[in-house]
Amino acid sequence: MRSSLETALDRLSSPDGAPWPLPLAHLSTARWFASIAAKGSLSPRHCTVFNQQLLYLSYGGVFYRPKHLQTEKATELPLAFLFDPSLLDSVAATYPFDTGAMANGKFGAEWTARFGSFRKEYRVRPKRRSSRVRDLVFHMFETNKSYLRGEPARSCETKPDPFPLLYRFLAADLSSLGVDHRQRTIECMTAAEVALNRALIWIGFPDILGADLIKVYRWTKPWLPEFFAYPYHRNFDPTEIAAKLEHEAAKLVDRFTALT
Amino acid sequence: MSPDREADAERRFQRSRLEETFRLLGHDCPLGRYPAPVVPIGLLGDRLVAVYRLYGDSKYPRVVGTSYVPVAEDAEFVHYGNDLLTSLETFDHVTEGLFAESAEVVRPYRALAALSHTTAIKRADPFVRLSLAAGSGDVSQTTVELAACVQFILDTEPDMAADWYRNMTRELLTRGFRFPLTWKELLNRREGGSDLLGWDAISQHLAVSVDTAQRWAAAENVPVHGGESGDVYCSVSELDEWVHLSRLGVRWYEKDVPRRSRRPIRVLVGLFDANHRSFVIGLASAVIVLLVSGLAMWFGLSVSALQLQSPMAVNSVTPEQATSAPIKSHFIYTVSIRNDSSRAGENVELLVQAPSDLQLGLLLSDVRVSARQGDNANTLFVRLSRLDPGELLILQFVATARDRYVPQSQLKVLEVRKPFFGRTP
Repeated sequence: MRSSLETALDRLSSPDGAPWPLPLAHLSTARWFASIAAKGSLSPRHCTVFNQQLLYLSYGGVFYRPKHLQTEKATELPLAFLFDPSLLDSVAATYPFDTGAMANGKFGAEWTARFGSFRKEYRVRPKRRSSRVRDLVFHMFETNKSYLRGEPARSCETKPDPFPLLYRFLAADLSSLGVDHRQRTIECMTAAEVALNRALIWIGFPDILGADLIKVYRWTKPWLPEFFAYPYHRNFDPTEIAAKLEHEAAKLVDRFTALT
Repeated sequence: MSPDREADAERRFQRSRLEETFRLLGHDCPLGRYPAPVVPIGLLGDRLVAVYRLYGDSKYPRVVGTSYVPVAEDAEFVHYGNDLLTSLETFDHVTEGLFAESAEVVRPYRALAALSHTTAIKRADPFVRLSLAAGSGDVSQTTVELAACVQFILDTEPDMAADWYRNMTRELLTRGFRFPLTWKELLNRREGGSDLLGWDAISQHLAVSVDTAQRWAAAENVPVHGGESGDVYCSVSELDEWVHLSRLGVRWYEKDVPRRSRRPIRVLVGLFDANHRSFVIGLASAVIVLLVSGLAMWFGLSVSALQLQSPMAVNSVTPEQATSAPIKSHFIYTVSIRNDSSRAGENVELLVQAPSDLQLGLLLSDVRVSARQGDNANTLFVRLSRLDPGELLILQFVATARDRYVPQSQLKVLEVRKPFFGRTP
């Protein structure tokens, strides 16, 4: 059954000048690096929001969301992977916001109530095996740059439902709740394993784990993905480190947004 | 807990933390393995917290603050036994960190440099030692460990050494370290490689006058070190590398070129500076390089011209970086394919080839596109699962040149295999 958002997208024409597809990011934790590098793939894990095995990917860059690092462990260090846009063909569903934050009421009571049935109504699945994430960006933000800045296009308000509601949500100032535009960026999910030799273009990891990069190379060779080996011991605070990773990954994503 | 109540609790916690005493209970190792610096975990009042020491941005680390981050009451961490807690009784969580050789062997430290002498670190892999050396700001120790890492890579995956070194030294450069251009030079220095000392030796090596060598050093970023308080010096291989890159159009004009002809070359070189990149992109985007001939209409499939979008567009470098490391240059090519027939084309295959010294990859594509490397790094088989009637599909390729700039490289579509029209049986 089609969701409201899918129906609205169907009613709108697929734009000729849809923005270029952007890289997809996956944020994990450093203690998993050795096993990921040894296995050569990222595996879906149980998701409590959808109650199934899923791998989350953020569209357009590394967007630190606290839930990414909330585990049963006392501390975590971020580990970030960036894949080229060809990975979009593995994406099973796309949502225009952080579903974990929505499910946990992080956007406040009002928005939580308005998006009560978001799991079904805001899901966007591929059409004819083709991801519709570019259409989604176009109809909500018009350009990749506006999307990455979190600035929805006013034209979104005049489009079929539920775009007007999405516009008000994306334009709302939720900073008092500790929410910024990063939690309203597009979230992609897949139930499949994602192989590192597929489309990996960048990794951010603690510099002390350099030996694991050699294991990654064994999957990606002859290409060595670009990497950012961060000096974690100067500041273990994952929030600070994740901000740095976001910044470094954004430099690479900029190469894609520059393409016209 | 609602976000409002959570924020309120956090504010109350931050207000009270100054009045509370921290009591160490154990540590957590977010790396998941030892030896490693670890995060102290303990009680601040009645809240379980992780303690993060905050350092300034200087290359030489200095603690500028302490951050207490609440963790869940049931969070997993290594709980210390009485013996270990007793041995850490004098641990000062504000000025000291904790270093764990294992879950049971933990010691406090004030400076990372002190750890390099421990047996655990000496036995650790070179990346651990490099991390600690760089973290301590010790230039000579960092150089030693960087060379050890290169050697480790050469012994395990030699083909990744050049890329790893380039990426790693670029990262270390942002932390204030400077290293030789190539890993070969680094190892050469470790083994006592020769330097050119003084302007006479440098200018003789360049076969120019001392004045010219000094002028180039000022204006063209010749990799000369020292000066002011001491003699200048320059490594032979570093200088040769600079000459090599410059000849290819980076920052140098050839010695034997008459002066009148130098100017245009320098202007052209200047276009590739980071400051002029947008101009280059605009200029290059306007240049359409027609490489495909005889393929305009072929089984109803139209392959348009390849467009040289922008050399350097995806690898921005500053002039400083250009002389501190050989830059891997990327070139983006756009291929447009249109199905001019009235039927859907399925399983269209293209064989794409770049010049032999470039590595070719698919940068951007539609989700229906897959690619696999050909027999050589410069060839790529691209397969389009479906192309609807009248549909225009744009593919983008990236060609990578190692250690050189190639402003006029060309990418060729060698072959378009017959597409199947209609549904696959």
